[in-house]
Amino acid sequence: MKLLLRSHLLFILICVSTANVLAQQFNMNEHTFFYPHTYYSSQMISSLGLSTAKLPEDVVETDDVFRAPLFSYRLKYGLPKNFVAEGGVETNLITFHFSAGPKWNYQFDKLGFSVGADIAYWFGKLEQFGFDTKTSGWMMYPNLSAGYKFDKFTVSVKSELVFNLAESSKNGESEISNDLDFFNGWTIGVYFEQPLWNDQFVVLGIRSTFLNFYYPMWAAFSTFDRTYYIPEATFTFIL
Amino acid sequence: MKKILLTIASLLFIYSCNNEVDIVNPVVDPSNFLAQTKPLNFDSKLIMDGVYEVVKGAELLGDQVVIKWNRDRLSIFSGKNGGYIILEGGYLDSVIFFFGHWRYSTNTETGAASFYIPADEGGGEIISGDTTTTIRLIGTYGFGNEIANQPLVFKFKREFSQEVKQGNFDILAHRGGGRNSEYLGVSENSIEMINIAERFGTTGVEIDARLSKDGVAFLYHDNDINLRLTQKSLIWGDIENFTWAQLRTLVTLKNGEKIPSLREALEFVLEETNLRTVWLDTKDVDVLPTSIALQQEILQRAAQMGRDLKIYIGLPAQDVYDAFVAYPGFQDVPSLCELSLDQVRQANSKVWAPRWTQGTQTDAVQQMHAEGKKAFVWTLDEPSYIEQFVNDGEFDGILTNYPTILSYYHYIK
Repeated sequence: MKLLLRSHLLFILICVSTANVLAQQFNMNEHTFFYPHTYYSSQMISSLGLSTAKLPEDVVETDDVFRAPLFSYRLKYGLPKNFVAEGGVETNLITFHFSAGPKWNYQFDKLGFSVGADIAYWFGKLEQFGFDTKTSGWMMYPNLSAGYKFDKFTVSVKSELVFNLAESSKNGESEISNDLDFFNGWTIGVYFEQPLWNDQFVVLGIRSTFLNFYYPMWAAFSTFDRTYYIPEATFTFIL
Repeated sequence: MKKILLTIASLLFIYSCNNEVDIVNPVVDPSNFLAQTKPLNFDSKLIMDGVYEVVKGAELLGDQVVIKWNRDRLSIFSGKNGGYIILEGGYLDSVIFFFGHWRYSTNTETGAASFYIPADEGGGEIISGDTTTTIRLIGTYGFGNEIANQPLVFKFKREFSQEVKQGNFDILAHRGGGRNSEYLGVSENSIEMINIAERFGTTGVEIDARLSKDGVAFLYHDNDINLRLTQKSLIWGDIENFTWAQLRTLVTLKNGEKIPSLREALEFVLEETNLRTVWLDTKDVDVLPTSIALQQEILQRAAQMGRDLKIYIGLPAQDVYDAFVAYPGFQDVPSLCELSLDQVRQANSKVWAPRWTQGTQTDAVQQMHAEGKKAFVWTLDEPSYIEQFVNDGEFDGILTNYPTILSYYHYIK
């Protein structure tokens, strides 16, 4: 827990202290993605991001720092009565993760809150390097966000629980349904949104994940029944 | 620029944090009771081998376990979380006593365990070497360093099947018996690891061979000296740049052992263990001539001792394969090829060893068998797939980081 607080507080301090003070005033509700503001009906904001993670040394057997780049495209769509629909896809080329779910956002002056749940289907396929492998699964992510809107940037915190609903894999002609624990773990992320140039907003984020099964590294076929701390860093463009 | 640098610095700071695993070493036989007992003889040990019903303690190990003596320990394998128990034993009067520890393979849960077999529950017959099927192990287990006070009782259910007893299936343990990430208390690719490998049901080990700057073959997996495999040392970088004397004196493996030479490892297997198979993985193409020379010498000594030992030179990649088939008389060198079936034939390899992620490949395995070759598969750890490969596959051996799980599914067959 100390590690978690230390890393996230440090990140916030650095981002806030180096915020672009020259930025002009913006309607943050038009330009931010992670900040849980209210959406007007049919308002749409999308983002394109890249994240990287430090995978557990036990699993990947290397102490390389930056691993597992994951590209993401996400979209939020405003619905009536403060509801927002969110969907997205993440991929590292051999893995695709599709998620979608509703959220209910509430904004009180500069504070924003969101509660929601996403359901996700993911699959991976690898037919090189001695693999003839296909794998897929379903997951669920109940989530909670809170954010604060400053004049020139926003800071948001998002936490989610991660549940495994199902997972199966096929290697050659051998196929199994894996018996993963229903509760996989939890995550917490801090996201800092500010303009990079003109009205182009970017997001710098770090996310701490505490998971038994980290789907992007499915090809490692890790059998460790341990909760691993896997930090992620993300850089996202708001489109 | 300042912002970017600060952000990168913060990310590096965050990423420098590691996952740490704490594992306790349960206190076993604190009063040293076993010192008062006498060791069982070989015939007595054989009587105990079999599949047992878990009468009490199913929450720890499931409803049945496999019990099997190895060189110096009684091992108990279960299908729940890869749970296993390793025990030392001896008898006093007509009662047999065991002390040891249990562990889940896939996580770090562990604790002490102790048992006894009363004289009238099979103890008397076992000690006198008389076959019996009414064996009952009565004992307790605990968690961590807590007192072992949870009941655990096993009752003999059946002998191993004829298929198991007459077969020659190889349970092959990765990196000498297990990876550092299993936290077994000894380091991968060490003599100490090879020494305990049989306790996990292992019949053979895979070890990784490299060559020092001055031409000594030794066991080590990675290209470089790193903290995953070693303790902090005065030397760092590519391991092939150091002499054997430097490696031996300046590098300490993760759990305090010295890096073993390949000669030491093979001699240990030959002289101190009952292991019957060594998969000598070639991590450095330059080590090949030295590995082959040592293989030939140890195999000769094994033959003189009447010891059934197989040592296979591993051919994991094209460069090693090319160097191997350029070696004079390579056709007579027992090798294990991880490449195509045609390359297995061209190298006259004794064993074909595909990655498990291509499935059971029964047709290809049968082809190899028809040509008088064996087929091993690597490195299979997922319990459900282990069960499937054991029951549906026709491989002659499986390389795994969890030989205890493989032992369970093999011996209940």
